[in-house]
Amino acid sequence: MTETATIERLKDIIADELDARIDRADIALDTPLFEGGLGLDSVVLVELISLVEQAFDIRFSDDELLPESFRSVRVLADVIEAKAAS
Amino acid sequence: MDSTWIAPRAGADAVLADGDQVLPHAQLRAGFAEFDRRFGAAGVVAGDGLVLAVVNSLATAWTLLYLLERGYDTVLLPSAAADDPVARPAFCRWLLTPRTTDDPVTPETAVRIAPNPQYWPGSALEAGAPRLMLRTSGSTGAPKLVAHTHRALRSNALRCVERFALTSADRAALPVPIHHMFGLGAGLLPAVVAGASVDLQQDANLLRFIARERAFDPSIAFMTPAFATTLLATRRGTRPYRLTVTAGDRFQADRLARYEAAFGAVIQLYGSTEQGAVAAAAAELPLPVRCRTVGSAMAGVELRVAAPVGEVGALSCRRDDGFMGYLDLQGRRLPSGHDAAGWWPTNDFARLDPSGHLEVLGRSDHSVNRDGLLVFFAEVERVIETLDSVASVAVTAEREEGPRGRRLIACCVAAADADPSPARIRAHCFDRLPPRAVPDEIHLIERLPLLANGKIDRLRLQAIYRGNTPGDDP
Repeated sequence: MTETATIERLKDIIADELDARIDRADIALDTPLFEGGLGLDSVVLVELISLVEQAFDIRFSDDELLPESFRSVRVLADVIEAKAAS
Repeated sequence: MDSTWIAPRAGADAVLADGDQVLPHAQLRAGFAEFDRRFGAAGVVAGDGLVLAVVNSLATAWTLLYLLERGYDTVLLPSAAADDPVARPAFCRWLLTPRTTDDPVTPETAVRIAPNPQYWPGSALEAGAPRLMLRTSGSTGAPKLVAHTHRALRSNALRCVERFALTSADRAALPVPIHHMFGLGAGLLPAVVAGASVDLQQDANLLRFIARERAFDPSIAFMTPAFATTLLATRRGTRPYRLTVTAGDRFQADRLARYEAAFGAVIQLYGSTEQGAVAAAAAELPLPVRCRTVGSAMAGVELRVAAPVGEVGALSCRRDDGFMGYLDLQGRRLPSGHDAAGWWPTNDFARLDPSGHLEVLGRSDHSVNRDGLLVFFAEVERVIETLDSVASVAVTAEREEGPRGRRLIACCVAAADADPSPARIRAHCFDRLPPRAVPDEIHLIERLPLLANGKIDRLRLQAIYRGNTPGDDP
């Protein structure tokens, strides 16, 4: 999967699969996922983690559940790709 | 009893922290003299009321402790409300805004002191013992303030110290807001008077909580059951705490047990903005008792259930150092709701077991009369929750009447990889509940809508299931 494909898939998840009423057009690569950006709350975050794990067939360990990794779509896509490659 | 909030004998290592900065208790105490100079220079005098805009930050907590230490009448507002002119009490001369920059917090930078533009000199609090006021929205809209004397807050805090067995060796994680009674009265203030360390977390989510956990190494945590459930759903490893205190809602029994297996002992606390901590379990109680109940009454609190022991009835409480009453934004006293003997109706239904442990079944408006008897939504929810195929459930009632009274609706979220049928869920209820408590309809929904405070949004719930096809209409 190319980076673009990862990013596109992530945007699909956030816009279409998360129960958070987020418009795809509002998701820029560097939009923060939490406050001051998409405003994902704790419950939606749990859902996001689980959807990402399913979609990319990965599993985050506790050590990988870092706020930095979920800063934006771009950063999260990098994390997912690094993890899938390892 | 020590009259100061930050004990001089606090453990030498005790700190307040907020993710940006860490300050020892001793330094916080020493800074009060500089706060005196700043407040004096700004023109603040004894007897002035102050509004403090609250975020979970070191700057806020330091300012708050100063105001308590010096006996100022203080209104705590969440920072968003403090920005709203309509929400500001007219009897407060000053508006205090904690600093939000990344500069180091010092007494000089901790808080901005400005005149409250909504101050109206004709409004005033009755003179009296210093008060701390928290906002409550109430069920009918008009915001009002709940007034506590500083003394009562302190006795509430000391009782929490005792119940939680807090010591100066404890390190408390506070992902709950300190403008609410739970975060303030059960979390921050007890930890401070115990000389324990506190980590204040603003905009907490599970990632930030885990990150702060690594940095701060907490031994005790305060959170809502909804937040605990997000940790349970996402964390892979175990990380035992000495204690986790939950409040704000009921912690589903099997989740509490699973949480405890991974993260250490859990106790449920029951309280309110008005009454502070009313009851809380002790960690030594057996797990089944801690799952089912909120333990026994705090010292100085009496509980009364309008029913024989073991039966459900309306819960009232009475405390030796209760809240003073409600105030409107002009500082006028509103009725407190206490009866002549000092009992205060909680608007919750509950049951006391023979050992005095309190089981809270939910708000009195979370029940409905069917077949001439009350059915508690919580009781039905508990029965449905015992099904492995159901992850979570919320029960509500329609306005319209069925044969037994208002129609009872259960909205269920299926457990992962499970496919529960509404018919099977109803059959399960029939086996375990009297007919009046069996829901008329079962709906399977994607997820339960939650309010910002983590409680179930029952109004939105109705909108959601009305949009669905009825699952099993009898």
